[in-house]
Amino acid sequence: MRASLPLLKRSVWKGPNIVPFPNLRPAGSGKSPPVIKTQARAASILPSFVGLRFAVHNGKIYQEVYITEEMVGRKLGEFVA
Amino acid sequence: MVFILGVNFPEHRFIWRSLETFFGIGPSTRQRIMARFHLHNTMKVGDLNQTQILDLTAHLDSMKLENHLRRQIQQDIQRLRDTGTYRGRRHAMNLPVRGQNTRSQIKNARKLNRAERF
Amino acid sequence: MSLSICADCLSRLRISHNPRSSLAIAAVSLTPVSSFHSASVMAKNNSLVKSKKGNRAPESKYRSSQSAKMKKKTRDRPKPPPIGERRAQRHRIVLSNTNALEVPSLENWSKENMTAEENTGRMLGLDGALLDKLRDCKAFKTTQNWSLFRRPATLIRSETIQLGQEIEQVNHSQGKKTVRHLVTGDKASGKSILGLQGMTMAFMNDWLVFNIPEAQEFVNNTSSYAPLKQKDDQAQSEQLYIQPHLTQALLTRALHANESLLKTLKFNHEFPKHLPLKQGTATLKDLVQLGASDHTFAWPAWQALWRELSEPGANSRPRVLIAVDSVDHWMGPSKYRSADFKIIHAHQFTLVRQFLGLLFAKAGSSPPLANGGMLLYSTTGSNTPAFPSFGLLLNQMRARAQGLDPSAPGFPLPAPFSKPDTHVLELMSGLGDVNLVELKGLSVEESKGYMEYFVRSGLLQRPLTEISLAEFRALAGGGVVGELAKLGRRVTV
Repeated sequence: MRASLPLLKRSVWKGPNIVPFPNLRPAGSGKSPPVIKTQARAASILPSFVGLRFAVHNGKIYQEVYITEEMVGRKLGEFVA
Repeated sequence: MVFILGVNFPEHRFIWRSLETFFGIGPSTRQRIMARFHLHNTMKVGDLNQTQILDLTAHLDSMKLENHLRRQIQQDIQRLRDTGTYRGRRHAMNLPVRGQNTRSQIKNARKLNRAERF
Repeated sequence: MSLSICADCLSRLRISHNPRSSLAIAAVSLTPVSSFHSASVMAKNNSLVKSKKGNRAPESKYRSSQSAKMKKKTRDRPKPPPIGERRAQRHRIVLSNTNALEVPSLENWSKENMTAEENTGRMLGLDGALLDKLRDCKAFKTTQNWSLFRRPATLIRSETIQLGQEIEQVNHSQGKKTVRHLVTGDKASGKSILGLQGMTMAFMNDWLVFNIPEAQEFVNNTSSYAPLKQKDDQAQSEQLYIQPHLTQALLTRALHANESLLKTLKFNHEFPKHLPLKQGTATLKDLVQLGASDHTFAWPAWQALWRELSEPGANSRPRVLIAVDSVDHWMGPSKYRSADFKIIHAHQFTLVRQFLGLLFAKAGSSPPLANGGMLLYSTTGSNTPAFPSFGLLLNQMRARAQGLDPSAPGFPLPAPFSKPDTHVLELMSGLGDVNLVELKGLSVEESKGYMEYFVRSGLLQRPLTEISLAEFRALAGGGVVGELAKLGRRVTV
C-alpha cells in the first residue's frame, strides 16, 4: 500500500533534521528559560523542546511558539505564518 | 441476497462493484482484496461460497471503513487545528491547504476543505 | 384557429382577481386545439372537470409550473431479452443456410478420402455424426462463414493433406509416435480451420480429442482460480494455480465429443481416492462426467484422466489429439494476481503448463503422449498480445527450420540488456521436435476451388475466369483464405 504522507517527505536515511540550538536549556529548571530566536523553520521539534518557547521567523517577524507534547516530530515552521 | 459486512447485496451484482460501494475502498484497494482471496474479475456476489463470505467480511472488518474512516479524517483535521498549525488554520478557513495559489481557481477548495466534513 | 400565445402566459398581466376562468372560457370558445402549446388546453380541461363537480377550483394567485400539472407519459420500452440470451446469440453457430444454393457435386470428407491428393483444392462436406462432435468440442467459430452455405464444407489444402498423412503415420506406427505442430500465419490465413480439420480427421480415426478453442480464457481473469497445494519438497518452486471452472469446461467438451469412445475405456490404475466413483464398473466416461458435472471435482478428475491416458497399463489407449487455439496468450504474464498482489505468469497455471510442456517437451525425455497422437497448437492473428519473447521463440523455430544451428552466428537470440520472459525462454530447450507450420496464401489451384464453391453456392454472381481469379488473389493479399472469403461474399450489384 502507499506510504503515508509524512514518510514521503524526507528520506529515511537522512534522519530528522536536527538543528543544534546553542542556548538550549531543559524546561522547568528554575526560572523560565529564555526564548530561542531562530530562523530554522525546518528544524524538527524534538521531545526535549517541550515546554520551551521559540521565536520563529515567519519571513517578517519573529513569532513566539510554545512547544507542547503534540508538536513533537513536526517542524517549527508549521506553527507560524 | 448476500450479507457482506452488514450490507445486503443482490446476487447478480459483480463483487468488484459491491466492494467499491464501501467508503474507503476504491479500485486499487478492491483489486488487492480480490487478489487476496483469489476472486476473479467477473465473479458475482452469488458465486461466493460461505467461507469466502466469512473471510471477506473478516478482512473488511479489520480495515478502517465507512464511519470509522470518516471519524479518523475528522480527527486528523481537528488535531491540526488544535495544535495551531498553518494547515489546521487553512482547513478552518476553507482554503487550499497545500500551498496552492488562491488568486483564482479555489472553488473546489472552498466547497470541500471543510473542517467539519460529511 | 388557436391563440398564437399561451393564454396562461397572459395571466401576469391581469389586474382583476378573477380573470382566469373567463380567460379559460374564452379559450374554449375559440376551440383552441393547439397541440403545440398546451396551456390553454390544460386550462380548458381544468375548468370542465371542475365545473362538473360543481365547485370552482380554488383560485391560485400564482402560476404553478406546467410540468407539475402534466402527467408524465408512460413510455413503452421494449422488454430486454432474458439474461444470457444475447450472449447465446453472439456465440451461436449456424451451420446451414437454406437460402444458399445446394452444391450437387459436393462429396463428403471421410476416412477413405482423407489423404487423397487429388482432393487438394476441392471443397469437401462434413456430415452428421462428425458435425455433432465438432460442435461439441467447440471447433467451429462464429467468424468462419459457416452460415453462408447450404451445408458445412471445408477446403482441402496441401497442409490439410500433409496433416492427414501424418495422422495416418501415427496410426500405423507401432511405437508411440507424437507429431507436434505449431501453426502460425497471418490474420485469416486459416489457422483455426486447420485445427478444425485436424480435429475432424482425428474424429474419423477414433482418436480422443481435447480442444481448447480460446486460450485467452485462461489468462484474462474471467474464471475462477485457486492456489494448488504443493507437497513440501516442491515448496521452493513457484506457486501453481488451478482453474476449476476452465478444467470443468475442458472436461465437458471432451465428454460430449468423445462420449462413445470414453465409454469403452476401462481403468488401468487404482481408483483415485476421494472421487465418488463406482469401483469396478466405472469407465473413463464416468470419471470425465464427474469432473464435468462439478467444478470441485474437475481438477482431480482431470489429473486421474491424464494419468490413465498417459501411463501404460493393461488396457490399450487410443491416440490423442490436443488442439489449442491462439496459444500466444499463454506466453506472458496473465491478468490474474496472486494473494500478495504479484502478477501471475500464464505458465503458473497448471493446465497451461501441462499443455505447453507437452508441445515443448524437453529433448531426451519420454515422448509427451504415451500412446502417440498429435499436438496441434495455433497462434492468433487478430488478437495478438505483444509478447516479444514468444516472437523470439518463433524466430528461432524459423531459423531451425531453415537449418540454422543454434550455435551459428545468425541464430536469433534475446537482445542484449533486454529482459526476456524467463518462463518463455525455458521452453526453448524443447524446440527441437516442434514443427512450425506457416500458413501462407492459398495456391492458385486452391483459390480456384474455393472461389468456385462461392460461385456454385450462388454467393458470387459473376463468372470465375482466370483474370477475375487473379484479381481476387491480388486483392486478398496473395490468396489469404479469409480475405478471399470476404471478397466472395461481398454483394456485387
